[in-house]
Amino acid sequence: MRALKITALLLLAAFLGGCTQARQVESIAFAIILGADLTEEGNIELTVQIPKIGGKSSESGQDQGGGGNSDYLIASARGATFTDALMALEITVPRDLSLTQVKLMVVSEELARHEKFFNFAESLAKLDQSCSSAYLAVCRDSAKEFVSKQEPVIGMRVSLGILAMFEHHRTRGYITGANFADFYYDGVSVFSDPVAILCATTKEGPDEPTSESSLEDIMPENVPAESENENEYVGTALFRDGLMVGELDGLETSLVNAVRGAPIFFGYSLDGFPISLQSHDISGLEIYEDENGTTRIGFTLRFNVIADLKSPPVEALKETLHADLLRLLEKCQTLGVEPFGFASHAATRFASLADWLEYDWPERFANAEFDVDIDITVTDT
Amino acid sequence: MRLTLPLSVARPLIFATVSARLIMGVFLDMPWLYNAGWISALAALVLCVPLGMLADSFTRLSGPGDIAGALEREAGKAPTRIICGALCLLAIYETAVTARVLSNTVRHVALSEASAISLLLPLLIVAMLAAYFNGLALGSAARIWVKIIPFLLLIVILLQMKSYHAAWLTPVLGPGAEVLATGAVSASGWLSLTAMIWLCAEKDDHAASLRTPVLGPVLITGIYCALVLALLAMMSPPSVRTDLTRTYQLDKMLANGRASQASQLPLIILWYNSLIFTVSTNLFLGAKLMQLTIPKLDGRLAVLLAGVAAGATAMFGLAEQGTTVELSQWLFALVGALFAVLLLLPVLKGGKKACARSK
Repeated sequence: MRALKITALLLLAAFLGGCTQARQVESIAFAIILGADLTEEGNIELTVQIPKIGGKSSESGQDQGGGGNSDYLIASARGATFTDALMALEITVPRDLSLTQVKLMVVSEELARHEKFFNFAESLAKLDQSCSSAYLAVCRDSAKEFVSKQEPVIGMRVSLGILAMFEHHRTRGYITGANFADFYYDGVSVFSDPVAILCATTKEGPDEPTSESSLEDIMPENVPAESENENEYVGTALFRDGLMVGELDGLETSLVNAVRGAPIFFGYSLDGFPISLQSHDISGLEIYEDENGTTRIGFTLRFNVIADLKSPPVEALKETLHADLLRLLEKCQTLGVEPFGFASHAATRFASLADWLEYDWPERFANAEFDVDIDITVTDT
Repeated sequence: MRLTLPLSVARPLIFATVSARLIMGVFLDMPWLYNAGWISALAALVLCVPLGMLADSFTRLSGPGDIAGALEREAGKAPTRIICGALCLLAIYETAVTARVLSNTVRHVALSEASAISLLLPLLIVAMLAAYFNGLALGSAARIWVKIIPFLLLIVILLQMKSYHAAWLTPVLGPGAEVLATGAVSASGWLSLTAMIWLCAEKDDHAASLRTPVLGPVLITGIYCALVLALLAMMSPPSVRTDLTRTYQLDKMLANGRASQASQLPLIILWYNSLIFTVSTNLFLGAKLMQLTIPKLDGRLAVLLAGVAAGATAMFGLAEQGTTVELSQWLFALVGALFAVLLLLPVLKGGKKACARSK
């Protein structure tokens, strides 16, 4: 009798379970790229790229400028806020729209520099459907166009292709590995400033490179190359107080990554001499006030240089890298942005967050002086 | 049917239940402690040591049999039953609060737009069923679960290893000593719920050999919670410039964006099961305390009444985050005062031998 009662109770529980409303995969539209633009009227326009179930069998006729890519549905909607635009998007997409599988978020530079941007990011972060693991990129022009141009060019689905592509770019160092969680958590914290990947759609790059160095002055819109892939990712968008305030080129981004401790391999050109550099984190980071009250930041940036054909001129390389690094630090000081991760180290000296805020790190960093050393180890392989 | 809980299985039950409640309270409901919540957990541990020592002393001095019975003999029937009645209400309230968080988690993870009642009802039915199987079954299940927790936690730590950033534990005092002290008082309230489990337990043969049946689990639970809270704090810098809602904190804990997707499954299993244990145990305690207040009440009816009361409370705003946190500031004082009355009454009534051994 007891067993019967328990069985009846368990069966009853099954009928009452929240899982009875389980949603089938076929009934959900999983967006893999989310784009956001600012319209001329100051509204938010969202664009999503969604893989169509069953491949090329177009099912809704919603394909708007998908660049002939019929495997993917491109849908856009506008609203006064992110939430309004998302609601409109849910109307136009003929399934339950899910952002949980978004791999890339692209925001137009216009929106990133607009006061609406922080509210947009806040809405995204507080969304029930967490998409915080997606990479965050700032697009030079229209995010809508960028999203529609993002295609699987080397025989992969877009979702996997994006991850493979970013893994490739990230290890080369000319983009930051920032996902939305990194960006947002840095943005709402009181430590270093957030960064995002810089990107652009370019049909044709310039005929000639803009500088002697392979990465110097390279921005996504002036990569001297053409391919079927029209979307380029190079450089960093710098943010302060919830707005984009500046940008870094490919070389500067590589150095930022090296200072942040990301293990990267990048090509460097010293008077036409090609050098493969591998970063090895920084050592001996010290942040302190000297006798004049000036904040001093000292560290050694370590690199490994691979001697391919002949040994590189180490001293000259050190000098050039040192100069490049100081230029980068000064640029960030001028912009009032600290993307290097120094802040959390500096904060260890303080007892509470209130003490740390009183210390006024942004002001201290802007006026800081640097004692930077470059350490280079030459290896054969 | 008489509801019983052997003291030897109450120990793993304390760990499984109270650790989830403490982490839930500090991380989800008091996000303004930022990355220093672990200090509040440690301070709460210190605050709860006297309570644990007192409970241990009483357990050692009392003979075999149920703790509540021994207290009833020493402190008197009426005060013991009144206090059990008050603690019963508290246990039911705690069931409702935890069930609410569990339903929030389900909603968050499953992205379901199901109504609160359809999320709460199955959980409460499962909890009632677990409580119906009685304390030995519940405690034995907790004993198994406690052995699984370290493995799951290890997997999570290994998967998230690259994302931990020790510097985010600084500034060490986070929001400041005053805020941390307030947090510690609330946290000690949740940790002191250990005493409620002890009150519902019965000394069995296995428990007789235990030196610290209450203080030991309190120390282990407090240290474990401080460790977990420190690990959570190392996953992201303190979010000072945003509204820290429960959903936001849940997302930070379970997904975070940084951590490997693979780490979410063990993490979710860890979180879900711990919460289910907390709901089930609190419901059992509610029913048991109800039975202690009204001894003639059948255990099955007590479980049903406790479940219905918890369900009704969970549906109201009383179990929501704001109210829970407001009340938590007084929880330690309330639990402490009730147990102080219970344990000191025999002394006040006279006699040097406060807790005579029962025959």
